[in-house]
Amino acid sequence: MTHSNRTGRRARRAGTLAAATCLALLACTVDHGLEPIRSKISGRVFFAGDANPDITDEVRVAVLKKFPPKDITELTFSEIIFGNSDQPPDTVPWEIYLEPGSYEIAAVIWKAHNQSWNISDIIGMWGGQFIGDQLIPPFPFVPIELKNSRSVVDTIDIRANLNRVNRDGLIEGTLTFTGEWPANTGVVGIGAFSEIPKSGDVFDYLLKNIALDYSVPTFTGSASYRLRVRSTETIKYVALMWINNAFDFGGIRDIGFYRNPANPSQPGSVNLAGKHVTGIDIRVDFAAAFGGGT
Amino acid sequence: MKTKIAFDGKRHGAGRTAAGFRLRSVLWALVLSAAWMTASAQAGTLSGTVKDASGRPLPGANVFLRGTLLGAVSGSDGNFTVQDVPDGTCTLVVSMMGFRTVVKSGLAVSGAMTDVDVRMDEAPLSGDPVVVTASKHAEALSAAHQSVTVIGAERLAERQTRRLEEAIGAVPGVHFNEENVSIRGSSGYSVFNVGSRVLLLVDGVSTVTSDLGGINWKILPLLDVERIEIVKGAGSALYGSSAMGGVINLITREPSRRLRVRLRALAGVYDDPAWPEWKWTERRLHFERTDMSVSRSFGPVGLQFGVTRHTSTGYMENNEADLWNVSAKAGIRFRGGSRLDLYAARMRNREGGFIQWLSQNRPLEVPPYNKEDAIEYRATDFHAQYHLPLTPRFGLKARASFLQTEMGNQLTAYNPGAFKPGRGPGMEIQADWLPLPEHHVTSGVEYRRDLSGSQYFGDHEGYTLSPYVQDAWSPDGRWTVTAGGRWDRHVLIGEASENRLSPKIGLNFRPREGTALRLTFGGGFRTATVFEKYITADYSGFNVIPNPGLRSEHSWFSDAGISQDIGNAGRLELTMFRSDYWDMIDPVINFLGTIQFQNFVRARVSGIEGAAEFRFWRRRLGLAANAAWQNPRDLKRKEDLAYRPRFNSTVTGKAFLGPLSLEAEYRYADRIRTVQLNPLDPRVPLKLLEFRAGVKAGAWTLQASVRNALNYHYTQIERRMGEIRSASISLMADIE
Repeated sequence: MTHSNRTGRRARRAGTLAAATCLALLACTVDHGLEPIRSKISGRVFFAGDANPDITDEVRVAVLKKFPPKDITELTFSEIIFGNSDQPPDTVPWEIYLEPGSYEIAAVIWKAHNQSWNISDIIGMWGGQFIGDQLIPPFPFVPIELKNSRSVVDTIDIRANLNRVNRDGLIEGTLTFTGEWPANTGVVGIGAFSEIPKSGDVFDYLLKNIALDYSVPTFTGSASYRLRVRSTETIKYVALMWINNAFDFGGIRDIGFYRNPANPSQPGSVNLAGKHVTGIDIRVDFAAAFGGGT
Repeated sequence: MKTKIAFDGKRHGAGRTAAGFRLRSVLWALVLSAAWMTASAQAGTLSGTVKDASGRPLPGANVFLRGTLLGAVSGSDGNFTVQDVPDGTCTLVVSMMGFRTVVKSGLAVSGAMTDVDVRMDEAPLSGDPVVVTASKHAEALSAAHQSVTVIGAERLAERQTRRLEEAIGAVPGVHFNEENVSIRGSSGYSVFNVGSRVLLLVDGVSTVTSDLGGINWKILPLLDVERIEIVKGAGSALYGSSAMGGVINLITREPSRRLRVRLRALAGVYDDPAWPEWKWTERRLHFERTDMSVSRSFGPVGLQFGVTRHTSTGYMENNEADLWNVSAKAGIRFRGGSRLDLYAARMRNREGGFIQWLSQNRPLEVPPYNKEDAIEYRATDFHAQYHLPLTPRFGLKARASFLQTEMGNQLTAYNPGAFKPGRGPGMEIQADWLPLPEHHVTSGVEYRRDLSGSQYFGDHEGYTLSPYVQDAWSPDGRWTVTAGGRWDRHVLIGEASENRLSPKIGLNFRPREGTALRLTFGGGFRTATVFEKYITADYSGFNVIPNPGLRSEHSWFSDAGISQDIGNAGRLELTMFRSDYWDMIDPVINFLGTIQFQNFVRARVSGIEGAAEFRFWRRRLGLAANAAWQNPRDLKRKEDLAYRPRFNSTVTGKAFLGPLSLEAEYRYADRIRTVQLNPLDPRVPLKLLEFRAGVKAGAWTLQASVRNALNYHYTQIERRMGEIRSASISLMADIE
């Protein structure tokens, strides 16, 4: 057999093998990895109240599988439904494409200029109701179910009240810390409340607050703060909330509050008639606050 | 008298200057005494020619005399000359990638010229090439005490490499998350490659940036690369900070003796996504690349110039790229064997700032507010290296380097001048001394200054001073024991200082030819970057806050491995490893979305990696496969470290039919278990199939490839789609 014959036969074999391989590949179902999500939750947001474009960055709908979230990354956000234009339209459609599953919360969240998302700035919740500007959440939650990859739930209409974040007033003061900061301190927030929240009740903290800011410096002896609030609100309670470094919402607790100058054992209310109130000082004694441990 | 800034950052006057003079005097006394102790009275010259089995000259072969620092590289005619060889008998070792190492013992040298002809047989695989990174001096790959993988320029060309990451990512134990390289699970993902735990060297000189502590893979033209050495496991005992996961050394080509021109022109197109609803433009998306290198020597002076131009529309919206690289290299050989090498490279890259997708149903589009984002990056790298062999057993190397990197408008077209150039001038003196033929002592001092500034983290200046020493003891041809360490003093002037000692001990045992066992144990560390300490920014809705108290992170690592040749046709490698990390720096996100870098993580990564390579049917068919399994645990959070796959593997089949070469490569990495920003987003394993073909005709090679042939859609970090299917064609020429 000549060399050229052998070479030709090998070439034919190689060609046949290559063709067979190509056919086998074509016959296979090709895995394309990620694919579009076709199941979704959608509805409309009905706005009420007045927006404050000076401090508003954006508003979105967020959904959550299980409340409370461990952190902000557990929220899935919609596109922006309202930016920092003067006032929103009365109603805006929204949609979020989501994997099949059960979603406990759908809420409208407001974000301030130059601030991170603050999940206490909820201005509306699916199934929630407003009494005045106060949001009353549904209880128990009615989960939104996306049963399969084609499920569409398009009836999730939410009422949102922008008055909750129309913050034209300001309170400020100093914070004084005595004793040892707990080593497992995560964040400390300062909040102004329309009613005294039940200690450890996350909903009360999130929904009865007029404003809540979690950027209080930690592991320091003293600090000053400025908290934007709505001037028409009646502030009955200004307090510091502590959360551990596992960011466990269930462990939220008050560690100090603004006291009534006339009766220091009781919380002091704040009159915002002048829109700018100073001297709302709070002292924290860690030994007293954590007498029972962290 | 002029006041100097001394190493502790304080100002000192005459007293400190006198101390400096005494230090220099002692150093020179040591150098001269070492030179005297190892000097020889009589010397000769050894020259010869290296050829392959068919008698063709082999350029680029490494020639060295065992037990000395003397050596040479064969030229384009295969000739080599080693001068100042001590009279007596010597052992000549000749090695080259792709060929079997040749050892010629008992060569007599007595003043006059001695001619030696060396014939090298082709090795079934890559042979036993010389490597220079694991021990900071030349040694055979099989004698290295750490796990080293070498990728030669030929392999880069075969792979039709567009980016260095493509070739390096196919090495077992190496994984890329976009441009973030992780060796054995050392790194996850950080934006802009901040705080790399893998050190990138060019010719042994660090290219880690002064501000971000990151590495830039586009820093030099691709055709400049002669080979890539990847050292796995901490390299801090010789290289200090950033080498805690490993070291990657890009070794640039030597200038040719005769005029040599290399050219490559490549053009390609992107396919549509697999899902029609994801298609976002009617334009045909494409990319182009041109690389050129010209090299020539004029007597003792060798010159080389390189240029790269790459443009791309990208496969996503706002994903365009426009890259320029230029480089120049000069090698000057002096009488007496000393040599000066100068290398300079400049790059400018401008690309769109695709941070995250609009939504999973529009994953190739950006949100409206990111449409104008752009990232511009410029870098200048310069280094000079002077090799001074004082005696056959004592030599000095002096290195001076300067790296300037500049971030342009970082994601905000509205904020020009946000970053100042980061500047990193450095210098190093290294001594190689063979006090006895079986000992190779490598010692030196490295100094680097880092200057950086940005409106995001302020202006900062620091320096690192680092003496190091290592002894490689080879009592016979089979054993090598390596021990050494490096002390790093890192000072952020006016702010903080830290000291770190990184020891290392390694054992290499070669019971017979083709078998090598390795055992290594050592420490590594990484200094916190000014970015991680001082950053204040709003990043994609997340508020990043500073942590001035951030400390360096440190680790201990150990590995044990075996490499075994299988006859003439194959090789197997198996390595087990474990690394423990303390104070690992990680971005910690609180429930509000505030991010702060903290010394939060206590981690352990253990695993096993294996590689096998075979050639059969008269070397016409080849199969290479590797796999790595690792358990990257965050011991504090009790979960996997973020962005680390547990398993990854690459299988490559090759066929060489005369001038035609065909390759198919499949890469798999399992689904990443932990991510940091959007844990609820769907994630899938990585499955990439690639086909390559090439046909060679003389100096010309025509190549074609299909990347991501299955058009598989995946994300390595959240909300950024991996590259979709593309096809390209390239023409290469190598004319001498």
